[in-house]
Parts: sequence; structure tokens; C-alpha cells
Amino acid sequence: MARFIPEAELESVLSRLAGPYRLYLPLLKGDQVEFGPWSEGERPVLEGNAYGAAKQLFFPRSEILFSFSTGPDGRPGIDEVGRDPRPLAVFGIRPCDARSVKLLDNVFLRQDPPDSIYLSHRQGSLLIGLACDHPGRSCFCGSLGGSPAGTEGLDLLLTAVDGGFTVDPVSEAGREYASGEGWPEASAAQVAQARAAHGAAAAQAAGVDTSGLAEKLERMFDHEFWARLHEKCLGCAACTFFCPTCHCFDVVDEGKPGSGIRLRNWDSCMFPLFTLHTSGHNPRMSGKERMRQRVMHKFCYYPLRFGPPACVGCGRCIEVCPVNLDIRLVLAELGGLA
Amino acid sequence: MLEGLLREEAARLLREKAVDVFVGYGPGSLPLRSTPVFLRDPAGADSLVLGPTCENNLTRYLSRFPKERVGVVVKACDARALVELCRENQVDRKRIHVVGVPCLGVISRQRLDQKLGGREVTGGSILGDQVVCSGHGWEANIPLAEVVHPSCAGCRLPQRDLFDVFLGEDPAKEGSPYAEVEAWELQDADQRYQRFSREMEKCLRCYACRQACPACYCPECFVDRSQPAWVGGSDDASEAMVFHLVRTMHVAGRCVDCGACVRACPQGIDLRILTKRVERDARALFDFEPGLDPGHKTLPGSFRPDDPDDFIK
Repeated sequence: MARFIPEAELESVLSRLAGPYRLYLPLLKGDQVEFGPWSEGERPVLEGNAYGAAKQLFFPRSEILFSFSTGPDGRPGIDEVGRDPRPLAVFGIRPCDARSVKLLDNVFLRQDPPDSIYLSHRQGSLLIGLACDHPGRSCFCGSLGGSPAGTEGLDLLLTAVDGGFTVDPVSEAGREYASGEGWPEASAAQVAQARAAHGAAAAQAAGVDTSGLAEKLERMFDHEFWARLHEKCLGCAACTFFCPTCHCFDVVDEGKPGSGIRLRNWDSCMFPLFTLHTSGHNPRMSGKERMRQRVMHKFCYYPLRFGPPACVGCGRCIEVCPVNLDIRLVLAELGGLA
Repeated sequence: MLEGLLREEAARLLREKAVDVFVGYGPGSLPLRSTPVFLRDPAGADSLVLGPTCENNLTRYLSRFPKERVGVVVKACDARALVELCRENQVDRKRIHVVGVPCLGVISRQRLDQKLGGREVTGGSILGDQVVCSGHGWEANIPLAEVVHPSCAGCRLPQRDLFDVFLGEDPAKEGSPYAEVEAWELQDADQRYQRFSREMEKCLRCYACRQACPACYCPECFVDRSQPAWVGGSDDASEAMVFHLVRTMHVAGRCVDCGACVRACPQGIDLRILTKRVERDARALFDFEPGLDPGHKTLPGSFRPDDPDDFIK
């Protein structure tokens, strides 16, 4: 049953969320919209998508896993890092980003043992999404199994309508939270307006056919396509750092004699160092191999293992690429190859 | 018209096999963008474009073709970079066919976004000296001069003997190249440090600046050394500071202020607050200006007994 939050109530809804949850939402920082912690009176930006992906809330760019030191008795000790024990709530997350969190779950949680640090961010988290009314110029979620009003990964889906938002609880946790809030039922007209907005947006976010791509790519490892594809790529990590599903990391120790920390930092398959062996040999010796890996991981290896491709069509890589290497065109060209 | 000349020239070079590959700009997939293209067939020359959307410095790609003869489109800023690359023996001038093109300045996407208040551009074109852009329910005409990249102010063309051919005439550029540095220096040290810190805190260390920079051609960057690790990998701004300060000093007297690093940065970091200042120091202290004279020596390679040495105590 869809419910309704009047626009004027938004502030108090956020304020109530911020008690039991660590509440993050899209905020204007400088010229950019970024996810940030809520504070009293702060208004979320509910147009467009956040510049950086929501993955950073669950998988930060740099995170201390634990610290270690030598005790007074000369014995080594390990200290867990103190964390805010409250679960995370993300308000205003777009359906593409919510779906990406679901895809990250496959990597970090569908293994034994699950990744405990990621799990600590994810456990009990509440994802309150906002349906897109105007998909951006680089959006193509509809090509990859998503939609501007998709609910995968979400607990609640909000849709902007006249005077406020309709709320669709789309998970057990979402239904529970909604019933505790006591939001009134949305009127038939409000529900109809929300459905119409979903339909109109969906039509704008399609574009590329990716069916059968994983199987095709599996046979394309030695294809001449890769030699051309990487030509313009500069080899920076902008695409992978802004990608909501890229999840490669590096684990390093930093410290001084007697104490230190173990960090997990974002890494990128676009860096030569990512695959450099201790011997000095690098199995991915040029941009060709690195670019192939990026495409293969997203559209071949990941889907063969987990089902969907590791791309939600948010378009961030297209926007941030310094040389305008557009993944939609790459997919279209791949689709056209025999 | 210039595009026509360029297309003819590229097609001729490829048809007559004067070059193996021609590096230019093709239409981009986003409004007001172009994208580097690598042509090996004269038929592709019809897709070449020119103009203020050509923001990349294509000389960055030259070292990728060590054995081939390469035709390359260069604007004045790219040409300055090429002067240095030849001087530093990174590019064999004899293998390169340099096609100079006039430039009115390239668009700074950051400036354009600020001008438009963050509204998304879904359509755009260049009409004379106007940038015509549109979005959901709006249209705007913006004078190009208001959104050209800051590095385009006071841009200068190297000596003509660098080019194999120059299509048209490069227009004189207005504006003082050091206006920003001078404004920056009016602030006190605390203000400057705060601004510097704010810029560095934005850095994600994606290294787009380094990868876009024609002067950053080290086979292995110091930040990629792990034994020892000169820079840590955490998101502490001090790590980013080390990277950017060392990079700035490494390109001192070599940076030609093409602005490619700034345009590549996805975080909109103003790296020119560092590089432009060092460029001016090289000019003030050693009367040295990189990128203009193909016959000059490098700054570190041009010691003179009367060089200032007051900083040696």
C-alpha cells in the first residue's frame, strides 16, 4: 500500500530517521551533490544524481580495518576500530545506486566468511530511494535490467508528486519502518501520478541491448577489438572510482615502529600497479589488457558468476572520463560484432 | 571551413601513406564534447572535428606509437607541449607530421557548469563565439569567452618552424596569464594554505591529471613505487599534497600550462594554483619560458653562471 509524505513533513521524517540511524543523504558540497551526513536543517538535493556513487558509504575510499601495536610487555596486540554502532540509512538514493549495493552484496557477502567490515556497514541498513523523474543524459539503467523506478536493493521507494512524495515500501524492513511512521495512505490520484512518472522516465533510460553479451565476451578474449578500444584511454581511474559497482581494493599497512594500521583503499584495474607481481612481471602489461579486464569483469566474469552484469547504467563513468570514452558506445559496438 | 581543410589534409596524409596513423578529434557522445580518434583509413577523415570542445592534449598519445609515423592535430597549447617532448627526446620529431590548428580557447566544463548553475546540458553547439546550449525546458547562449578554460588566457603559439602545416591563423589571445597567480599572492599564507587544503581534500588520487599531462611520461611514477612507498594510499589530504607538490616540482620549467590536467580532473581541483606559480617562478628567476622555442635547452639543462642562487644559504 502506497503512503504519502507531504513536502512539509520531510524535515521531521529525516529528523526521526537520524536518531536510530546514521543518516546520509545527497547534499550540495561546493559545486557538487555528494552523499553526506545529515544535520538539523540541512536540505537534501533531490534533483539529479549524486556526483559520487553511494557505494562509498558501504565501501569507503579508504578505511582502517584494524590497528596494531606492540604492548609494554613486548607482545603484539590488535585493536578493533571503534565504529558508530547505529545502522546506516541512506535517503534519496537513486534506484541505480541501490541496485549497485545489491551487486556489491554478491561480492562481499555471498562468500564464506562474508566480509565483516562491509557487513558492519550493510547490516540493518535502510535504503530509502527516490525514483528518477528526469533520467540524466548519460543514464542507461534500462539497458541493464534496472529502471528509474526500480526497487532492487531498496527498502522504500519515494516518488515526487504534487505536494510531497508517495512512499512504496518494497522490503520487509521498509514495510516495518513505514508502519512505525504512520504515514497516511496515498490518494488514488497521487498513486496514479507516481505511476505515470515511472512510465515516462523508463522510456528515457533505455538504449543499448546487452542480452547474450556475457557469453559472447567469453569467446572474445583474443579479439582485435581490444587493441582499438583502449587507444584513447589515458589509464586513469576516474571511471572505476566513480563506478558504483567497481569494488577492487588494496590492503596496505601504514605505521611506525611499534604501531600501525591496516587500511583498505580503493584500487583500480586501470592502474599498472594493480597487477604488478613482486618479480617485476606484469600480466596486464598495457592499456589493452587493462581495459579488456574492466569490460570483461563487468559484462562477462561477473554476470557468469552472479547473473546480472556489474553495471547499473548510472552513467557516471561517461560523465567523468577525461577523453569521453563512452561505455554505451563500447557496448553497442560489442553488440554489433559478429 | 577549417574542419574541411583538416579533413583534406588528414585524408591526403593517410592516402599518400605519409603517416600510418592520424590522431585528431572526433565528435563526442555528450553535448559540447569531442573525443580523441586514431585514424588509419582516409575514409575516417570526414569525421574529424575542430573547435572549443577539443579539450584534450593529443601529444600525450605520441609516445604510444614508437615505430609508426603519426599525424597529429595540435592547438597552440598542445604545440608548446610538443616542443618540450621533442626537446626531452620523448618524441622523434621526424616521425611526426604536425598539423597546427587555430584555437579560440577550449571550453572549461567546470566554468560552463558554474555558469549554468549545475543545470544539465542535453544539447549544445558552437555558433561563432557563442556556446549555444539547452536542457530540460531551457536554452542559453553563452559567450565562449566567458567559459573558456583559464589556461587559455594569454596562450601563445610556438615558433612556426615546429609545424609541418598550419591551417589558418591563430587568433591573438587576450588576458594576463598570471592574473590568477597575482590574485592568489594577495592572500596571506593562512588563506593560501586553506585554499590549497580544500583543493587537496577533493583529490581521489585517480591520477587523471598525471595521465592527461604530456610532461608526465615517467614509465613509473614515484607514487607507484611500493618499495619504498613514498606516498600512502589513505584518503588523508596530506598524501594528496605530497603527490601534487612533487608532481608540480617535477614539471617545473616543463609545464606549458596546456590545462589538460585541470580539465581531466573529475573533482574540479584547480591544480594551476601550483603549476602556474612555478611556471612564473621559472620565468622570473631564470627568464625561462618552456614550449615556445624548439631550439632552446631545458631549464635544468641550461645552467648559466649568473643564475640566481640567493636561495642557497
